[in-house]
Amino acid sequence: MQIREISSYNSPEVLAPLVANFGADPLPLTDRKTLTWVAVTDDGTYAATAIVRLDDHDRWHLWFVGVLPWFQRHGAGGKLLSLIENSAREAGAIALRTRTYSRWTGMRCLLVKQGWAFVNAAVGEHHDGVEEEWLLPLRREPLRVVLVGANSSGRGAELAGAIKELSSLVRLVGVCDINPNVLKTWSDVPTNTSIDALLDQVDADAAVLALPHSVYQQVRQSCLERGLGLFHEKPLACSLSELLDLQDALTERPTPLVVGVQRRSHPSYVFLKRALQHDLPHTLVVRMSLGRSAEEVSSDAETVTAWRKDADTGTAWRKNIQLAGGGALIDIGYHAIDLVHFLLDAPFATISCNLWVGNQPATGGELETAATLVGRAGNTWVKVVVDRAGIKSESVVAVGHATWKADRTQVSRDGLLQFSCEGSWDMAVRGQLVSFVIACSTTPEPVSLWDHLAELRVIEQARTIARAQGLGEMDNRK
Amino acid sequence: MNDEEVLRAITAMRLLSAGRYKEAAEWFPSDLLGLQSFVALQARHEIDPPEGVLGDLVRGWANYYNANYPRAFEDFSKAECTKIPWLKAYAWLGKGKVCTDLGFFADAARWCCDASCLARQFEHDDLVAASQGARGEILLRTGHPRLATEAFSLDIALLPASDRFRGRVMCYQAHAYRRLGAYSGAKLAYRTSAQQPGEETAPYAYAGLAMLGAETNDSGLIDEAIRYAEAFYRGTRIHPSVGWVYIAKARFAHQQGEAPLEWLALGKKYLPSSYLFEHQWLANWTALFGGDPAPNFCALARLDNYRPASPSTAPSDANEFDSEKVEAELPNTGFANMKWSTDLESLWEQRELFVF
Repeated sequence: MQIREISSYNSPEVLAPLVANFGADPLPLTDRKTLTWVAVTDDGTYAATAIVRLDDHDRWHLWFVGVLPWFQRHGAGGKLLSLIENSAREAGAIALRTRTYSRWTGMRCLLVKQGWAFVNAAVGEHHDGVEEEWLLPLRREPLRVVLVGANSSGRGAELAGAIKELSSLVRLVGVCDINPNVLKTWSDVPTNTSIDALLDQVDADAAVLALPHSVYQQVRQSCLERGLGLFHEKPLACSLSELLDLQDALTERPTPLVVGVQRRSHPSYVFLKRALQHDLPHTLVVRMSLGRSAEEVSSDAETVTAWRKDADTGTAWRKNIQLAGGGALIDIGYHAIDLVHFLLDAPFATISCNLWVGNQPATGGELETAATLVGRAGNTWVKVVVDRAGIKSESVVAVGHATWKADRTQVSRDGLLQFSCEGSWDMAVRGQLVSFVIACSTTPEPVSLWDHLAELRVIEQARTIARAQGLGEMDNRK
Repeated sequence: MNDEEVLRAITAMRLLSAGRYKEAAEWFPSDLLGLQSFVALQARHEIDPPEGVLGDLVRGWANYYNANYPRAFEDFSKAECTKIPWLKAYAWLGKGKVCTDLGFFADAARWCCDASCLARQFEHDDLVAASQGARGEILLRTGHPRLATEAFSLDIALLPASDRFRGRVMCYQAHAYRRLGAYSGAKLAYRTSAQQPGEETAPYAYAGLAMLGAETNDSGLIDEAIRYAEAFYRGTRIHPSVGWVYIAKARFAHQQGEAPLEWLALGKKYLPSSYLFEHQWLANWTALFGGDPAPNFCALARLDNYRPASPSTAPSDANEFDSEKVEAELPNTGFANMKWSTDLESLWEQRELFVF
């Protein structure tokens, strides 16, 4: 099998028969610049075709890939994609993008195998399912990252798995965790319990931070001083003032930053967002429950305590809102509020809020275990119900002309299934990491933290409202 | 309307939107008697109802306040035929209140949910607030104080600062805190609600404080509530709050090993006769202490077979914002068919069905 580039400037007359060979629709191109490759057998028979559009020289658009059925599973598609990837990289492009359909499972498998990542889904009827957008960052060398916070039961482990899968794009060069026992499981890379010591030890381009909320500021500072790009699990800060300080720092010294709010990259919520753009809901209800046991919460406590060098905080951090950054609201609530912002493209103003510690109203001084917020975003009434306990679950119900229901596995419209996907975070994490690699491949520009400012504003507003609702500084004794 | 009448109407509407119903009623020009009548209803002025749908609505609420539930429900059924969203929502809210008072809580919750949903869609925030408050009351009476607290919080947040109902809702909020065992919060909320301008909330707040006293063995609170009640009724005024103050005192006396019958008799005396089911409960409780229940069940007999119609639409995911799943499973048998407990403590707990 040989692959030939047949032209850089093909006319529709040349391209149309090639595409028609694969049963595709006629090309809509007339004057677009395109690149075309064909794979031919030794006897000159066409086996496969790939066409790239060059509308954006930074991000090449893989417009068409087709392998004739009797030549499939012989590596022709993979060879074509690899060739295009190399050509794009040589030409200085930073990414390849393409669109495919959810029922084209062969294409999906090929893209995953080649290291591409899902980033977006469109809404619309198509006999081949939902239109999806996929991306492949192009780097000469993989991005060198250190992972900070590597507890096997935390997000760090999930991120490490995704990094391993995207080994052609990202390479783990070091791991930092305060717990030496955690580091014992990382024998193949340098490790250290101190972030500064680790960064002195290895050459890194970026850091992936998955830490207890209150220790981000300290670790982030070390990374920013060394000019590292940041993949930062939520929350970016525990308070508005901390976030504003970060905004100032990023304005002064532009740094690539991607925040790990996974739902923004999860296929079902991406699909729902697109759907709601055509059917603005008058109500939106987001419910999330972490389903955490007391043991898990206790485990968090130990981790945070360990990260805090000042021993006098002891294990009392859970009762100190400044150290823990808050309870359910800044934990799972942050995700729920972010999802609302993402789905509606607008922050909401809180109208009422109730914070709970178990079944008792929270007074504002403790870490709440559950929260209910009601607010408005434009014409949409929003309700957010989050709970750290209970059965692990999440759901979104949006009511506009139709009733849309979504979770991490599916989206339905008036009870009819519109979209389904795997419930795991794998695709979302891969998509975010890919976006991060692309962000680290370009000249850093000042980052706007507006979304996160809006989220923290809602959280702080909610706390104020809850306190003002009659309990204030009161305790619940008789 | 001439310029002056237009100005009067605008002034009335501004006062209305601020929740100052009494003043608003006085500013409506004569051309808008229907609305004047409606607003007067809000301020509880006695006034002849106008013609048409508005009249049905006003009559419905008047009948509801007089515990004439079948007539009220009938009036609301006529009023709901309107295409005007706020009127329809108000009629559904009325149906919800009728069902609540009769003990058909699941139906009540659905009517309130429908009212809230419709009012919200058409931006009638005052009716959203009222519907959420009514939902809160249903949830409170059926043993869901946490959800009730959330509904009351939304109600309070939506009400204008000077709304006359604010004190009432804060008092309900206090009841919910008390049920949750958040006693300091409850005490603070009762005292705050008692000071709110608008309708007379203080008597209910003191009744709540008396209940709080009974629950926490705080004789000082009960004595304070009795002093307030005695000054309030001056020996003649029948008011449910006074009845509940004495019921709380009876409970406290029983817990202290004293005879409660004297206080129960006072409780019965001061509960208005229109509080049919409260009297029924009180009669049962009195009987358990060997007292003479002697309830007036004549009015109850009229309601024995009365069952208001349920909402025609089934609960759906579209109601997710305006209701909780638990609301579909609320008791729906009605007070007329209520099986009162014969155990002293269980029967005491059943008083929660009447808010207190």
